[in-house]
Amino acid sequence: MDVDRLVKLLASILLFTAFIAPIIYGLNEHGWNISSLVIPRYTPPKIGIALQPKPPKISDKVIFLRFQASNTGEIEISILSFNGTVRVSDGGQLGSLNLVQEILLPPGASKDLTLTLKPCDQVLADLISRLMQEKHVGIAVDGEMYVKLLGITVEVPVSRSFEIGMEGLESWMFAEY
Amino acid sequence: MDVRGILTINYRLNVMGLIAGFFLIYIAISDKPWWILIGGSVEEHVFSAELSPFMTMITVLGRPVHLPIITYLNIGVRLSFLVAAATTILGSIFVRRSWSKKFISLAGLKTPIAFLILLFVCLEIVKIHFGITIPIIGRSTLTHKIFLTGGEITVHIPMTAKITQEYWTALIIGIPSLIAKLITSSKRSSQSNTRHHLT
Repeated sequence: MDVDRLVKLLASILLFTAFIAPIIYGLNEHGWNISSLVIPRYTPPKIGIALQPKPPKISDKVIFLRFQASNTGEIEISILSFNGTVRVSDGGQLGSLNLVQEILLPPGASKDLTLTLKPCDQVLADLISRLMQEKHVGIAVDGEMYVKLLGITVEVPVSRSFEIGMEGLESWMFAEY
Repeated sequence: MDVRGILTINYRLNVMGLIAGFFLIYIAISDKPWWILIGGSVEEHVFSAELSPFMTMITVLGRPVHLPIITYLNIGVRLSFLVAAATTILGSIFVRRSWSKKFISLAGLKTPIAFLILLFVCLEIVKIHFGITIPIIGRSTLTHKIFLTGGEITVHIPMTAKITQEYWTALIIGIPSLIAKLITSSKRSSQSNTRHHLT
């Protein structure tokens, strides 16, 4: 074998060894288990919002549906807007809902989230009449909540049923009706 | 003295090869990415990918995605680049030796081209398998639906992808190694021609 060929062979072996050695080292580190070497490792952060209903309020023919919004995850969340409707569980639609103001929820924080409902006079009167008779009325909220996290807007479907009672409504009702 | 003579200091030292060798070392020890993909806003990233043959950094929702094989592959490429740099420098110093041409590596030129081709292929695979179109350069919006027990969540993620200045530097740096290889080749052929005429 001439010098040229030998040198070329040595250079090629050196180059190949430099490339393959870390991979062999990695395989050895992972107990020669190829799958543990090629499977990605990722632990996603927890993301979650909990909505706890609070007694509603009425002011100037507007019903304020209140919730306590809690960020149960590990990433800061902003609730930008809410588009949805609310209806009586076994009845007709009460109207559309809108978010009063954006809220910023750092991880672990809780803040009041208020949705406004502007029903027509007849619907409002019917609701109050039912509340006076039954004390509690089941309502269902359906819609999309627009949430901002890490710079992107996420459309989160919301579908919740809960009961509203006389608490919070009484003072207004006795004043107006 | 011709251009070849100037660039090799009268066939004593391959200057372009030396430059290429030292540039190869610079590229190999650099930790700057060649290609960047950012998902989300400029201030906050939903996901990001910073890639080069020597480093890989992928984060999703602020947490790193670790793929062990990639780390070892990156180290392997880095080491082989350093070996290529060493052989190029040796081949440039011992320019009169018959094996000098074989020692001049074109890794500096081949790697950036191969990186771009590989990146294109990988992005096409992502497109075919996941239906996600990621540009090599430019902006686009990723609309993705996530099915959860509570319903379907739709996310719209603006994406920005770019080839960094580091990549273009690496590609340009590859040119001296090509010139170095050509000079060595031409020099040997011209020497053999001279010998042929003498006989």
